[in-house]
Amino acid sequence: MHPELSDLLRTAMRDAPPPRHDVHDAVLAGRRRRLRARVGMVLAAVVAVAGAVFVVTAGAVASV
Amino acid sequence: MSDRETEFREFVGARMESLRGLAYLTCGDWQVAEDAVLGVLAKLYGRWSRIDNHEAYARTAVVRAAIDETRRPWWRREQSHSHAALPDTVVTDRTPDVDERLRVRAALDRLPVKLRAVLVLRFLEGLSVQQTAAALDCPEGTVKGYTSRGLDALRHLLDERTEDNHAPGTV
Repeated sequence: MHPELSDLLRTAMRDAPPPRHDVHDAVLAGRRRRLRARVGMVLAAVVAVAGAVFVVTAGAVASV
Repeated sequence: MSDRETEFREFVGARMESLRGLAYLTCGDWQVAEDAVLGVLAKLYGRWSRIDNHEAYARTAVVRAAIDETRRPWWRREQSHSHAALPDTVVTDRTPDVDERLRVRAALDRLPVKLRAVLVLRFLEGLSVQQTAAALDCPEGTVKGYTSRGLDALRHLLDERTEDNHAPGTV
């Protein structure tokens, strides 16, 4: 059965519909994903800096 | 266009169709398979320069994404509805090719998704036990066991369906 199994598996794919996505879609999806990741990192950095400033400021105010 | 993007485009052009087939045989739905492949390729685009073996990465990620899709609650709901609506035996089409395809597809659908994934990786993609174990992140012994059980189950299901289709009075 083993040599025939690959043929059987290919048989099951014979009804393949035309692909909905092409190379260009994959590149666009990759660029979008990378952009989202960068925006996420920038936002996280901004929140971290803002948090640090707040803690330092609040500490300074409290000590006065 | 950078070299990196040119390489990525060449890779996708050469491998997208076979990755689509790999995902489809694992999950059994063309649309879900295409979405899984696109998601994996989007991830691969961002990590292109950090990955050595793009082929192995894409194959592994596609199979895992297809398996994950079949574990979602909506998938189980859809599958139970679609199975309830289908007759238990394959309706014999007079076109032998279509009949054969439906028979194989129905037998594959009856296998647990991990067994299906192992069979597809080993016999469609031609991976070794070791490579399959790495792709599915499981021990080699598990792959051997799944291969043996999957082959037995598939042989049994295909024989069963052949007998059903040859039985008198089959629709």
